[in-house]
Amino acid sequence: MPEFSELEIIDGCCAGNRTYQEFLYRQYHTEFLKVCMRYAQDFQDAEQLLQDGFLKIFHNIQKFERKGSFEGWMRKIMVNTCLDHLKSKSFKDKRQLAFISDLPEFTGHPCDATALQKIAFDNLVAIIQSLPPTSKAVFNLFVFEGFSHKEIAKELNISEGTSQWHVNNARKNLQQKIMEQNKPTEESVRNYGQ
Amino acid sequence: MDNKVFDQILRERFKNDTLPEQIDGWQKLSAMLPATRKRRSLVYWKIAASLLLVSGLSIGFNFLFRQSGQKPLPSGITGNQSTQIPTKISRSSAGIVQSQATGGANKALTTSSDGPSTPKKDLTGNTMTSSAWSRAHTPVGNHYDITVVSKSQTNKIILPKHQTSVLPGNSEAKQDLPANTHKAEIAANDHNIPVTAIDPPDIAKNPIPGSGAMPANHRYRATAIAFGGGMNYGVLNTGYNLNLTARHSLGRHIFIEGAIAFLYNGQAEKSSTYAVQNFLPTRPAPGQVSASHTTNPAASNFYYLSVNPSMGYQINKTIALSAGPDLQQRIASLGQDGTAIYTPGRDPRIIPQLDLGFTGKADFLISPKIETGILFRNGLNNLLKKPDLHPYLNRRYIQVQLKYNFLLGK
Repeated sequence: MPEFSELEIIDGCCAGNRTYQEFLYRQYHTEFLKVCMRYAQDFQDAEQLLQDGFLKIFHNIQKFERKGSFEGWMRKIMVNTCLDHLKSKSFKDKRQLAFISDLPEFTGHPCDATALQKIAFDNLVAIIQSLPPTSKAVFNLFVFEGFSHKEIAKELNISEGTSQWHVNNARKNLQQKIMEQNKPTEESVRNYGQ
Repeated sequence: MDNKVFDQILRERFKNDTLPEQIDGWQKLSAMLPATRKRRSLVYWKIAASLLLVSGLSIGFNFLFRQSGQKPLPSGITGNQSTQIPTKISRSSAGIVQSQATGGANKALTTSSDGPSTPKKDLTGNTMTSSAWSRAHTPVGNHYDITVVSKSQTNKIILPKHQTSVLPGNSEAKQDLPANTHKAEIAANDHNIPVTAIDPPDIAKNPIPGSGAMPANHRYRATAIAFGGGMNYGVLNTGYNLNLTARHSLGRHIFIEGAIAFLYNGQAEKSSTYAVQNFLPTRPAPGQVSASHTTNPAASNFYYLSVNPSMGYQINKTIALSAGPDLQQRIASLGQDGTAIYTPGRDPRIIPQLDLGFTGKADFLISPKIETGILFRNGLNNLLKKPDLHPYLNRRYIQVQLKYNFLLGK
């Protein structure tokens, strides 16, 4: 595939040229899929979010003012797509969500760095996907997107304290599950003893 | 573990690790994207350029045709009588002789070679006018301009060659002219030599037998019905057609035409990149999973019934331009039962069931009965469709036609 400059890609996508659109998709789809995986329930959900996000990018690319980072602009669209999905009525109905007051508070032991580095990536993704939706959204925005609690509160229409609680609770939840994942099974212990 | 360290390790894992599953959702995504935006003005420019091209081709074709066989028609004389020998003309021109010349003017009619000074009569016994007589005595290939200067002063028939013969009835002969060199200046009293304009329809009613040329005013006939066929050439739209055309003249230049055609639209393309597939015409909404579809090898033929009314302008006796809407209804599809053409990297294009279009056509008359035509068609469905539908296949093609006029009415 030929290489194009960022400006060429933007111009080509503005004109609706499939070659440039495909190039842009292939250049960023892995990175943005990782973003979507963190917010989604499963891989199919993430795939759908990725498609929706790219559709929005291609539909709105003429609105990009070419001042800041193009990747940052696209990433923001992708994250907003994921948040819209989490906030959507159909998603809430499907999940029958209960928000903060109904969530259990995790009190497990914090995991060490080795456990976090050892865990398989797909398991790590699955653990993040298993977080309750709001905690997942707040945690992702805070840790991966660099939002402040104030920005998260504004974005998700919650208080800053609630945002802080979600981040802490998600962190504990993750650490507990990572520890569980790394806990040696009885069989492995038996094998180790022999 | 410190929260910041935990967050940092998490970020690094997501940055450096690769996903276990890789997807290639481009095909699905591209099917959901709108077609390439085309500036509407560009489409109009293309139509205009195509019409210009077709017109140019027709005129060029006409020029070549004339070069190869026919002589150009003289201005002021409608028809091909200039190529006839006198006896034939007098026989066929009986209807155009208008009045008798008397007195000195009777002697005024003359020509260079055999110019008789007596009143000219055709085979029916009618006296010929100066113009008719002059035309009748014109050798093959010469071009005449006949100018009526003034009825009260001098009627002149000026033939664009270089000798002059003055009518003996009025003055002396300036010189003897060799055969086939003609310039006759006929000066006469206006009341003696009536010069009569010849209406084209009169000539059309009196075709010249055995001349091999078409009736001069074939196009001026009120109605004509033709049967024809042709080939379509266009990306994804190559095929053939059979048509029945009826034309009615509204005046000397303007006519209306209606055509009913049966078209075969072959989708069996040379390129293997095309495929026909079942596809919902509606674009999936954002977030909605696109319709599942089955993709088949590219081979599907479609049959359309076309109704093509048009209005036209007759430029001259052989060339006519016309334009009008074109309504085509798909009546059958053989091969794969597909509804959309799919090309990798492009939006699926729905094969229209009811296809609206615009046609521009140039007709060229070869003989009274046979004519050729070049037609350009552009589909208009995409201009009228709702935005949430996939684009239609633009059935744009150039059609080369050959028609036989089997009924020439009055």
